[in-house]
Amino acid sequence: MTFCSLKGLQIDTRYSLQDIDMIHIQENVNLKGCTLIFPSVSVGNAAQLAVDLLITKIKPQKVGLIWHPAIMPLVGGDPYSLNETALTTSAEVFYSGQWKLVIFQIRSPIMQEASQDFVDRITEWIKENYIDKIVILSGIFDYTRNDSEIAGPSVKFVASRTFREKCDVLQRLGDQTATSGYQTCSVVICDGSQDPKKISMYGGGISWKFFNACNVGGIPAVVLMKYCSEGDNIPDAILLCTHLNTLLNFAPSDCNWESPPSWTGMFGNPPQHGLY
Amino acid sequence: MATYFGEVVEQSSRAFWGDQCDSEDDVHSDSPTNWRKLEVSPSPTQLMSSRIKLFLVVHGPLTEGFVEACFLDKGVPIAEINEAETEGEESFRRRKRKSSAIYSLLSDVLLCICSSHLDMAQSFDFTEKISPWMKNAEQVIILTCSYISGYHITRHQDDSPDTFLKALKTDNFSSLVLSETLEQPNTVKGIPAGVLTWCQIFEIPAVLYICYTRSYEVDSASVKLFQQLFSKLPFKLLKEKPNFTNRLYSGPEISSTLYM
Repeated sequence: MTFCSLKGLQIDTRYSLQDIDMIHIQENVNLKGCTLIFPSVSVGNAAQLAVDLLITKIKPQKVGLIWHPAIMPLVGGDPYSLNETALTTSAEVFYSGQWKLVIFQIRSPIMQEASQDFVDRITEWIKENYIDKIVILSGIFDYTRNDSEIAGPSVKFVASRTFREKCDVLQRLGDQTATSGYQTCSVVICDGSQDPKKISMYGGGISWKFFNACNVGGIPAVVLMKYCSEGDNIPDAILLCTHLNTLLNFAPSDCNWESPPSWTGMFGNPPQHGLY
Repeated sequence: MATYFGEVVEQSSRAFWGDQCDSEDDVHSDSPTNWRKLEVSPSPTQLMSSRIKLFLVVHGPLTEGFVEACFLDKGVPIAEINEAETEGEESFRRRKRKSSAIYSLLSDVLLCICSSHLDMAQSFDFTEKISPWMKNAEQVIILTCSYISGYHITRHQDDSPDTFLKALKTDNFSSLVLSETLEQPNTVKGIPAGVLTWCQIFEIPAVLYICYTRSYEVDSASVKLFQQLFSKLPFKLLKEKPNFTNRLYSGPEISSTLYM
């Protein structure tokens, strides 16, 4: 037992991870029937950049925060507005009633040691809130592409059968890739019986772990992944957003994706005037 | 005058830590944790009120040095937070890691000094360990520091000071914030971020002050900044005559940003 006494106030400093709520929803919202957008912390931060573009475009409401040992704490100012002074933390939950979207944004690394518990608890939360389906955004190392993949599109959907049954667009995309010579993306259907090593998600962080957990738990899920390398990953993020929009249709197909104010100075401070 | 020239740019994490985060070969991860768990040790109890007006968290060599020199005598800690012993006894004792500790400065003000040996990976555990005290606090103030080379600007600035304070606060913090808000794209990470995040979630009014500076040596510029800060708070925490005679910080904790 570990107690510290404070004039009769017994403070118990032990805690069990299972007793700590992970996702704190601070607004009264109904998430039933929504689609969850989850950015896997992965190569080039492409998924997280894509979520920044998505949030800047559809302006969802911030409804909650995530507190879990898998996520390194990080705080800063409001990334989507120069005028607001709202605090931003490392993992937040957004909600759009108009588009029935629940969006996670994660701004710091996920520690592998606690990632399984993190994934398990998210899938539990998804079921408790009757969320309809999950889209996992991810960057994947492009050097892992084999010869046939190099010649093909750089965007791939890896979907569960249950997701494909719910999503007409994905069915059409899958049919198009099979029949037409021009491909904007490839579609792979994966169920629990398939050997996971046949679908490479190297560099995708917890993408496979989360996708597999959803598959096992009967939650329709798709991984929307972009082959990329470290560098300027803004074009990768734009492509991910464009394909996400194809899937979910929340913006005009020819829309411009605006970058949030937090992207300013992404590649370092401006040069000093004294240099010139 | 700060010019931000020749800045040392920390290696970017690029959001994940290389191969070890790839889950392809680790579908069922049962790997034990690599970071050391923390435990709280009770020390001789002291009588104080159960309701705390202020819980002050100090993190970083500069802020700790300021507290050592300028704050009222801390006395003995009411609690210590150490790493749990998991290795062989001899090697664990040989490491002699400094503890984090909680002190009672006044009857209703507690001070928590974070050990410089804590890893960022222990931020969640440390925050949970001190959360019982924070739950009883009317407000939480977090002090931390960072090298000025880590401060991001979006446009060139002339005549910038070498040492300055910036602040972040929870949404329900209604008291006066005594410095400018930390602008995008600057962030704070680790234990200070963990404490502020916890306060935001559990709706405890909290403010974080981060001091950007060239060196973690306590000097007149940093002391003046902090003294101005604490003189405006409704708590008498400062000594009449600060004590700079003891060597406040030394060894590898004070490092230069000139050489890698």
